[in-house]
Formats: sequence, structure tokens, C-alpha cells
Amino acid sequence: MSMLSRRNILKIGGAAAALPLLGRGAYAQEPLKVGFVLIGTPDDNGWNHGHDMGRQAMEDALGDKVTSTVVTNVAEGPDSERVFRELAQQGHKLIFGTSFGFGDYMLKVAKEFPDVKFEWATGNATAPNLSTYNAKFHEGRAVLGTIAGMMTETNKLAYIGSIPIPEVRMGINSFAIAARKVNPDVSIKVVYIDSWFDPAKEADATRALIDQGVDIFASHMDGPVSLQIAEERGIIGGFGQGADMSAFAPKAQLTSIIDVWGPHYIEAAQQVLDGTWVESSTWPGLKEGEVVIGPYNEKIPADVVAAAEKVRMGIIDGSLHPFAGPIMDNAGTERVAEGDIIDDGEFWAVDWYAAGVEA
Amino acid sequence: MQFRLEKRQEPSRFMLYATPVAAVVLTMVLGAIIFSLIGFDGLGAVREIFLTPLINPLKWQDLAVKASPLIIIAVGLSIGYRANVWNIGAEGQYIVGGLAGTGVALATWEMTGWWLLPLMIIAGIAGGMAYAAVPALLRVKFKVNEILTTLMLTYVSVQLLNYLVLGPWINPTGYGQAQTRLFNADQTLPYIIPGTIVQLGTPIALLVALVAWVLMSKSMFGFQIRVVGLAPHAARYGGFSEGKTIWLALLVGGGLAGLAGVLEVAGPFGRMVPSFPTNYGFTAIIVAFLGRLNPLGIVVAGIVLAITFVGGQVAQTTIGLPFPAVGLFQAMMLFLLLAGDILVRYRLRRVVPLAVAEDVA
Amino acid sequence: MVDTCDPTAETSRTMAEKMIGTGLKDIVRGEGRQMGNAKFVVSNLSTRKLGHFDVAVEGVSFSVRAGEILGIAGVAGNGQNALLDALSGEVEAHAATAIVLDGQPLGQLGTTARRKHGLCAVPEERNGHAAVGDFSLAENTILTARDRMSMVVMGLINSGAARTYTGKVITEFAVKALGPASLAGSLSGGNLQKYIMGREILQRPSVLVVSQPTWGVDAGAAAAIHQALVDLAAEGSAIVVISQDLDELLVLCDTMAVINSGRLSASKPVGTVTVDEIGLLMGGVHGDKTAEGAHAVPA
Repeated sequence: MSMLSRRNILKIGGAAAALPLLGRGAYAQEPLKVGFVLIGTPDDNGWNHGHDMGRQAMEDALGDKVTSTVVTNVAEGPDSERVFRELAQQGHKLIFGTSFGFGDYMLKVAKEFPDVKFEWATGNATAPNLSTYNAKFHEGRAVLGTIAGMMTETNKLAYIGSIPIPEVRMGINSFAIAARKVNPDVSIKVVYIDSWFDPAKEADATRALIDQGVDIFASHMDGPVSLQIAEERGIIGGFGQGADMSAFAPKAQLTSIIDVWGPHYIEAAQQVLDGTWVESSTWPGLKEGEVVIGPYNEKIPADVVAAAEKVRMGIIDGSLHPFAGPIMDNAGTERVAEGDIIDDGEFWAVDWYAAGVEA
Repeated sequence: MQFRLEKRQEPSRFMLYATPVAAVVLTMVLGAIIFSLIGFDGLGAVREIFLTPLINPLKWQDLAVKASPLIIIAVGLSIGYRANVWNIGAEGQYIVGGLAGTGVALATWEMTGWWLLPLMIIAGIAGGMAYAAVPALLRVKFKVNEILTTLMLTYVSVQLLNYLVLGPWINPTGYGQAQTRLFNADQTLPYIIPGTIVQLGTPIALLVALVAWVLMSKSMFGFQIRVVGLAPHAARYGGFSEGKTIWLALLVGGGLAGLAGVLEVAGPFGRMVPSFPTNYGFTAIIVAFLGRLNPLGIVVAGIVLAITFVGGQVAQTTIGLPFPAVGLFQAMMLFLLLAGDILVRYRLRRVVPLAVAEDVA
Repeated sequence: MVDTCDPTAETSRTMAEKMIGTGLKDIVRGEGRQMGNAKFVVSNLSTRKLGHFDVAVEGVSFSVRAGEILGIAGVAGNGQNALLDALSGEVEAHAATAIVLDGQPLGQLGTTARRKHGLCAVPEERNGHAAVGDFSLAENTILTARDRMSMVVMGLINSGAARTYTGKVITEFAVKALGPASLAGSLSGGNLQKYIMGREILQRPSVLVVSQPTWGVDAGAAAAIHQALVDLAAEGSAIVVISQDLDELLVLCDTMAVINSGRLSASKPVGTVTVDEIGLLMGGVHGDKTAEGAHAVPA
């Protein structure tokens, strides 16, 4: 937390610097041009879909006051630098980069265009005209872990990881801790695909895990592949990631974590229109409604739904923390003592897996 | 009316240079038609993809940045292709070159000095060469097809990259994110045109093309490469060892791909990340052929390909052309180029039906 | 139509003269030529089989004196190509001393080094072996004449020198080509052969080994090539001609040997050998251990 709060102090300075620009709003009848840079395409029905839904929500809410441009399939790297510069050159005054790997280039371009506001999803550094925004997906994973732990018949769960970075690792830990809380016998096999989107590799991994007896999956990939295979193989099921994927796996999707970016996008655009936008880092979760648990599949027994809801409500009202001690890691060391938690600042430094995880 | 293909006595030099131009023009025409038919602004797409990057001076720097690695890699590949050595794994050599440069940068990140960048560049070239030496050894010693080995080693290099960036080389202050430290100022390519993003990689690319052109057309090295590729038997008679030539071709191709890799990581990237592989190694194959395997032609071809990339992004942001359209344009261009190649060696003759001929007589 | 005639009443020579429209020139030999000492000595030369259907050479020995033309006759496919590759340096010999030129052992040198020592060779196959069809004539000149004719300086090609030398070959050997820039593949077989022979002969090699020097060449061009070979010998070079054309060998050569299944018979002066003898040798009846000793040709 320390790191992030120190930055939050900076935003006061940033706001002061932005003041001279406010005059513009007076005669700005033209709609605000908002750019969205996506790593994939909105039809992935996952991560990118979620951001595109957020964009549409922004357009619906703000109407004529905004227009938006979406650039898809932008590779993380220098190609993205060109896209951000292009959008800024074309007069976009608010630009969202929706992948971690865009950050270096957003920071570069942000320096060149001080009057353009940039927002970096899942980022870890800010600038006077660059904010970060993220969502506490791991809170939702505690709900999924509860369902998986109670419903598994083989006691073998699996987690299709994308890239082993803290955010993914902590999603796995949250899932595992919740699952072991309701069923101490479960193990969680983790497979990394080394990509956010690689349907072929994801499919292979899913099949191999099913053959090893896994009957419930969680995933951190952009897309519904593991769910589709779960549906095809008739195992108990899995969870939608980033969006409701029940259309692809009506039987296998037990529930889903839905990213709701709309309110954030509406707020950010409104702030730019009003001239009140300031450098910030936001990281809301279930409570704020940015992370939402989708409808429960009817095959989930009522007691499991009740347990899942209890976890969800607990996190929302603050009575339950997904990383409350005691937490043992998978090597048997106590990482978090009774009565302690992993706070938002410590979150990013975690390099271990919770008990029960086989990675 | 009927047409017949007739073999030319000599390949047409005119067609050799006219067909790539025709392929580009035809791509524009067909592209405009196809995209209009499926409901996009076809003419607009062609204008944004092919003309905007050329007309808008703001885009020139992007062209330079995008074309430079393509040119360097394609020049190396073209030398191999001339020798009938089919290195299609430049992507892997590019990655390993980038990794080798990164290794030097991370080992010296607390140091300063003008010598850091040259050392990284040498390491990058050596890395690419070493990675191409594996298929060379397998081909020369065991007659293993280099098409397979170079391609498969590309996948190995991606695994190596992921392992290093997530493991031993991970940025200790990067919140566990998959990336290395940022290189320091002495480990980063200088900008050569103030106020732009054009770095030292661009003049290096032009120099590489120029040197390769002199070597290929004026030196025994180029002669050896060409004769081995055209007539291996005659090469042996002329005193050129096929094995040595395969080694040379792969080492030069790998070394240049490695150079592109280190210039890219020390330039636009500034650090090593898992998204470092950007298909330059594969796109360079199109560039090499579009440039007729001629280093100077490759400079032009590299710029053409860069135009389609840069213009593709312009078209996405201005007229909402979907991203795969860019790939479609590139694929169409390569297809038309290869199809047009037939006109270099054959001519189209109108066949007058016999009955008509008799009537006239 | 130049003429009509009764083929039975004509010799092949008169027929040929009618076809090319001029009288055939006789080969002019300097009278009373002095053969020098043994210049090119090959002893017990053997090569490895390269492929399943290849014929390797086994224990080949011969020697050629300065000024002498040695003919090697034989039915096609009896190791002629392997012998040429072994002599040119495309295939190395087991021992350096297997091939000796003026006392210098060349057996384990490659083609480039052998050429520098004065040993040039012309293989049977023109397109793709002796010349590259997609190269210009000037570039084909660089293929074999670069060192002896100083066309390379510090790894860079002196294309002016290559063009000049190629022009000389075109003129002196009456090659029908537009110039040094013509593609080798655009020349007719006979013209390409004239060019290749000219390219090697004008380098004035100490030893020239040629296979099928006039194969597919019209009679006039063949005579010119023969004359050039004789002239080269007269200047003191040693020449080895491998050919399936017995008439050619009998006209051209001073001594003859026969190759059969990769083995070479002893060489004999052309005047002392009859066509019948050669025929027997070509059919495989020669002095090897498996054949009947009675049929062996006395050395």
C-alpha cells in the first residue's frame, strides 16, 4: 500500500498542473474523443469483450458528449507506442490502454502529449496525465474456489494460468485458499500457457488435465476454450472469466466473474469533460461492483450457492478478507499469521503459492 | 480469345522488376474492390493503408522504426535463400540475439560508458549466429533439413525467453511482472533525429543493406553464395564447398537476425518482455522475396511492408477497418508477387484459333 | 538446299563439309614434335563411390609427357566422370602423391588450388557443371579463371578483367554470343562448349583434362577445338582427353588407354594400337586379375 499511497499524494500536484487547461471546456462543443487500445478483439468473450462492453456503457451514458475509437489486436511492445501516438495525434483526449504490457509506451507517449489523459489498466506506475485502474478479480476467485471445493468429486481442481505474474498468482491463491477452507482434501493443479490468448495450447492443457481426473476448472485466459472443452467432456464444469460465457458452455459454466468497466469509463470520461480528471490509482472490487459474480448454474446445489453468497457478501461488507491468515504456502511454511492479512501493497510481492497448489 | 504461356529464352529483366510493382498495385485495386463488397470504405482503406503513411510526415518516423528490423533480417535471409539455404527461423535467431544483448545489459546495468552498446550489439550478433549454427551443423553433418530445424528452434527460443524473463532476469523492482529492468541510458540506442523516435537502428539497417549489396554483387563471397544456390555441381567444380557455404549463409542470416534483435530490445523496447517476438522474423521472409532477394530491393520492400503495418493501424483508428484486413493485404501482395513470377520466365501469347487463321488466309 | 548426293558414295567427312558449307580443316601438327619428360603422373588413384549407382575409379595409373595428348576411351558409364572429378579436384584422392604435376603432389588439393598449380579440367556436362546457365559468360569465367587470370583483388571481383578475358574467349573461339553479358543458358550447346573449352585453354594450363570435348558440337567447331588442343600441347602442356568417340581420339591423341569399370588399361602409342584391340579393352577384356591372362594386352 505504501507505494501506491505515496503516488496518490502526487495527484494533488497533478491536479494543480491541469488547472490552466480547464478553460478549454468552455467552448468545447465537439464531443470528447476517447480511444481504447485492446490486446485482442472484443469477440474473445472475455477480457477484451469486458472492456468493449464498458466502452459501450460509456457511450450509452454520455451520448453525444463522447465518441470512441477502438484499436484491436495491438501487440504489447513498440507497436502499441505507435497506436497511442496515433490516437493522440488524431485528437483523442482520453486514451485507455487495457493491457499491462502497454505501460512503458503509454508513459513515453504521455510525456509527449501532456494535455491528453491516459489510463493504464492493471498498471503499476502513474504520471501527471496517466492513471492506473484495476479490479480485484481475486475477490471473485474466492467465491469460485468455494463452489469448486464443495462440488468436486475427484478432489482435483485445475487452474489454467496465463503468465505467472502476481495478479495471476494471487488469483490462484485466492481460489485455492477458499477451496481448501470448505474441503481440505482438494489439490489445485496449475498450468501456465505463457500467453493471454492461445486457444490451441489452452485446449491441449485442458484435455490433458481432464485425463488426469480434474473435474472443475478455473481460468485466467481471454476466452472460453477451457469451458467449451469441459462442456464437451461432460465434467462438472468451470467458470467464465471476464464475462458471462454461458452461451458457450450452458451446462459447464457454473458461474462467472464478470468485469464491469462501464462505471469507471463513464466516470473518467465525465471527469475529463468537466476538467476534474486527476492522476490516480483505482482498484475496486466486488464491493464497488466492478467485479461481479454472474448467475449461478441451476445444477449448483442450494447449500453451495448459499456458501458462495456468504463469501461474496462477506467480502462486500468487509467481514471476510480473501487473504486472511493463517495462510500456509504449499511448502508448509506459514506465510500469514492468524489475525493478519495480505494488504493491497503486499499483494504484488507474493511469489509463493498457497497450500494445495501444484504448480 | 485464348492465351498460352510460352517459355522465354531468357528471363525477362523488365518483368523481374515490374512484377513486384504490379503486385503492389494489384493488391490495392483488389483490396479496394473486396473491402467495398463486404461493406467497408474500400477506397478509403487503400488510401489509409498505402498512402497516408507516405503522405503524412508524422508517420515517416514510424515507417523507419518498423522497416529497420525487417530490412536487417530480410537482407540476412536473402543471402541464405540465394544459396538455397532455407532459414525460416529468423524469428528465433532474432529472439536469441535480443536475449544475448539483454544478458550483457543486465550484467552491466550499474555501469556506464560508451562501450556498453557496442558490446551488447556484438553479443546480439553472436547470439543469433550461435542459434543459427545449430541448424547449420545438423544440415552439414547429418543432412537434416534446415527448414524444419530453424522453425522448431524458434519455438524453443520463445520458451527460453519466457523462462528468463519470468525467472532469473525478472525485474526485482517490477512487482513481479514479466519483464526485465529498463536498460540504462548507455545501454539504449540514441535517437538520431531530435524530436522523433528514429534511433540508430535505422542508419544501421541502411548500412547493412548497402554492404550486403556490394558483397553480393561485387565480391567472391556473393559469387560463392549465388553459384552454390544456382548450380551446386558447378560450385564444386569452381572450388566452392557446399558445406562451407551453408555455414556462411546460416551464420550471416542468424547474425543479422540477432543484430535486429539486439537493436530492437535496446531501441524501441528498452527492456526484454515476453511480447518481444513480433513476427519480424517471419514478415522478413515476405520482405526478402518482395525485394527480389536484392539488398537494395529489400530496402524498398521493407518500407512497403512497414507502410501496410503503419497504414493498417491508421485505417483501424480512422475508418474502423478490422485488424485482420492488414494481414489480408499482406498475404494478397505475396500471393500476387509469387503468381506474377511466372511472367519472368514465361510470356503470355494470344492463341489465334486455327479456323479463324484459315479464314484470314 | 546446298546439294544432293548419294550417301553411299560419300565419306562422313564430305557429308560434314556439305552440311557446314565449308571444307573441314585438317588438324595441323608441328612436325617432329619433341615429347618432354613425364609432366603429369597419376599413380594408383582410387576414389570412394559417392552413390549406389556410381562407378568409382580404382588404382588408375598413367603418365603424360609435356606436349603429349593422352586419349582415354571407354563405353559411357565406366567411371569417366569419377576419373574427371578425381583429376579436377572435385573429389580428393587418398594420397597427395596419387596426382603429381611437375613434381608437385596435388592429390589432396581442391579444384582451386589445383588450378593455381596449372591443372585445369572440363567436365562432360556443360550446363550446371562446367557452366552455370543463369550466369552471364563473364560470371562463368570467374568460376574457373579467377585466379590464373587475376580477376579477384582482396575478395572483390574485378569485373572489367572478367569481361575482357571473356571477350577474348568469344573472339578467339568464335563463340556465337551477344557478348560477355549473355547468359550461358541462352547459348546453343555447341557454342557453350566452345566457350568452355576456350575459357580453359586460354588460361594456358600446364595440364588440361577434358571430357567429351566435342560432344554435340558441329563438325567445324569440333575441328577448331581439336586444333586448339593440339596447339596447346605444342606449347608444352600435357593433355588428357576422355571421350567415347574413337575417331576423335585416333585423330587427336598421341597415346591411348581404355577405361572399363573404373580401371584404366596401360597406355599405348596410337600408331601401335588397332581398333580391334581397343574394342576388346572397352568390352572389359583387359589385364585385370579376373580376366583370362591370355587376352591381356602386352604393355
